Amino acid sequence: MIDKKEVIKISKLSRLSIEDKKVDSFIKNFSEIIQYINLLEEANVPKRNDNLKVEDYSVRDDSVIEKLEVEDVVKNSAKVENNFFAVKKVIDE
Amino acid sequence: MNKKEFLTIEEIAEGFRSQDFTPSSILDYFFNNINQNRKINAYISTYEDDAILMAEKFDKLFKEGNELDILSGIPISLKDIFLVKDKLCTCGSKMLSNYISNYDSTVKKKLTEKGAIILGKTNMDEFAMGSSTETSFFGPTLNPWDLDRVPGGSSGGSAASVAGKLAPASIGTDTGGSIRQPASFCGVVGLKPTYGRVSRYGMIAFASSLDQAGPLTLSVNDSAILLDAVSGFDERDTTSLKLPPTNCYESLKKNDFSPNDYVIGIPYNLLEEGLDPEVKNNFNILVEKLKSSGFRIEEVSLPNSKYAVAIYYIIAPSEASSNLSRYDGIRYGLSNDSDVDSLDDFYVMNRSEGFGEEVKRRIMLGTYALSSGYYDAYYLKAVKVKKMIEDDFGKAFEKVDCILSPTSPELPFKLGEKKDNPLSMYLSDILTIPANLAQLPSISIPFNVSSSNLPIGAQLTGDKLCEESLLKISSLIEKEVDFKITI
Repeated sequence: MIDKKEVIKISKLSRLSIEDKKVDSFIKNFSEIIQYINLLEEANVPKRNDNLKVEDYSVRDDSVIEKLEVEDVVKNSAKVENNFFAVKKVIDE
Repeated sequence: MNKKEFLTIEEIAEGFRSQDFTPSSILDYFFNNINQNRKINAYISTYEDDAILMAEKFDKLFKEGNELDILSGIPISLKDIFLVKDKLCTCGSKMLSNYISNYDSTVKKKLTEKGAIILGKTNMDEFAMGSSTETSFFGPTLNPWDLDRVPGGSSGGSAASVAGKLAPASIGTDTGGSIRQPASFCGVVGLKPTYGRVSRYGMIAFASSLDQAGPLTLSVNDSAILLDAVSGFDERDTTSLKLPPTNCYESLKKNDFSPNDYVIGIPYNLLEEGLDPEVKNNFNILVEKLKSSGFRIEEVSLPNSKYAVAIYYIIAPSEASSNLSRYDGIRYGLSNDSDVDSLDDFYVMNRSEGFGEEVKRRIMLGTYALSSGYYDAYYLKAVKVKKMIEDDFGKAFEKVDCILSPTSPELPFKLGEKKDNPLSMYLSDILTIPANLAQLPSISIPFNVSSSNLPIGAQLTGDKLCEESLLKISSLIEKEVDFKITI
């Protein structure tokens, strides 16, 4: 069973907040889903699958195929300065 | 213009060549329907002005008697997950409600290079997360068969556009059934190709190892035409298969195949429980019909597919939590200008406001499954059990050519019916998810209607890269059932 503390922790890791009035129903649904997923515990994985890892996908050469202009790339950003994305200061003085 | 109401790509292309109608008149027909049926909410945006200019160009080319690709002048709708340069691409989300694409997706590019005309972008569940199109920020799409019911999802706008005569065909995407289930709910054909057949470049990512684009059409031949058009290797998608485009339509047209050539497997163990009685009865009748038409029917066993939904809800949210971390309000997407204390608070503010509840739930499920202490128990276990499902299919395909089941265990449900119960919504994808996990091609074909006149779809799943035989079998079944949209 997932409790409120854990849900808050996961929401922080996810950079999300959940409205106060929705927290309870969220926890309920979330717990039901996790409980369902735990069905996997009963699956008997054959020994040969023990060393299975997540597949490595090949990557292509790091060469430009089609170039986008900087002006185009930044045009969807709310705050741009001199063709750079502008963000809030992250280092304290 | 004197013609039947539902027109396939083949029929429209034939009409252009016999000069029975022109690209402009066809376009006019579809935009009239679109504008008269806005309440279905199949489209998020439409491109009428651009489309008219394109159609006029093709009017001239046909009039001059030029030999053109079969897709020339054919209007098509695209799920609003494919980037079209200089146009909005919302992915059904508030987060991207102002996002203008910088470049074209490969799917869009291939279609328009062959002369297809994009009608507009269709509605969808937010970031393709849903089975009813109700999670769209732009409101739900209604099922043209019954406006109180959902069209399925996440490609619900695409399916409704085809069933509602708002497009002759559409391209959607399928991560766990998002082409096949809405196709089934709307009485149209929907094909999810083998993973890697169609480039994902310019297609907004949900779960990258499962996402695959494919057609929703009125006929099996039309699905073949569109698969041939959009498939093929693309160096800009690292998981794109190094294969040329398919050539299925030519093979289908040869008509040199019959039911006697094929063995169909049925996974009865998956169909024992959870099926709506009407779906079950109609499916059993279909099987008998196929038997008497000459197909050999054999039982196959997919014992581990019962874990498919659990695996899916670990793998897909895990990938989504990573893929959707890019939406931070800085480079693109919703950006609130309220003052907050830190950059971190800025991310939280934008993401919390921009994402809907289902998207948040899935990001958090993924974050949970990947978080410290849980990775082995969830993600790694899911990968291992997924391999068992793939092995089951491998064994089954040693003795059968394809596997048949209903597409969805249920009939199209009422709007709002599952809104407060996400798990029951997830479980409705039990029959479609295994093909995504095993990267297999899978198609939904409408075969009958229920007593309340709601369509029922049959799903055929083939072995990897066997789209051609899958489409041949589908075409034979299509002839056998002779399904008509009766809205």
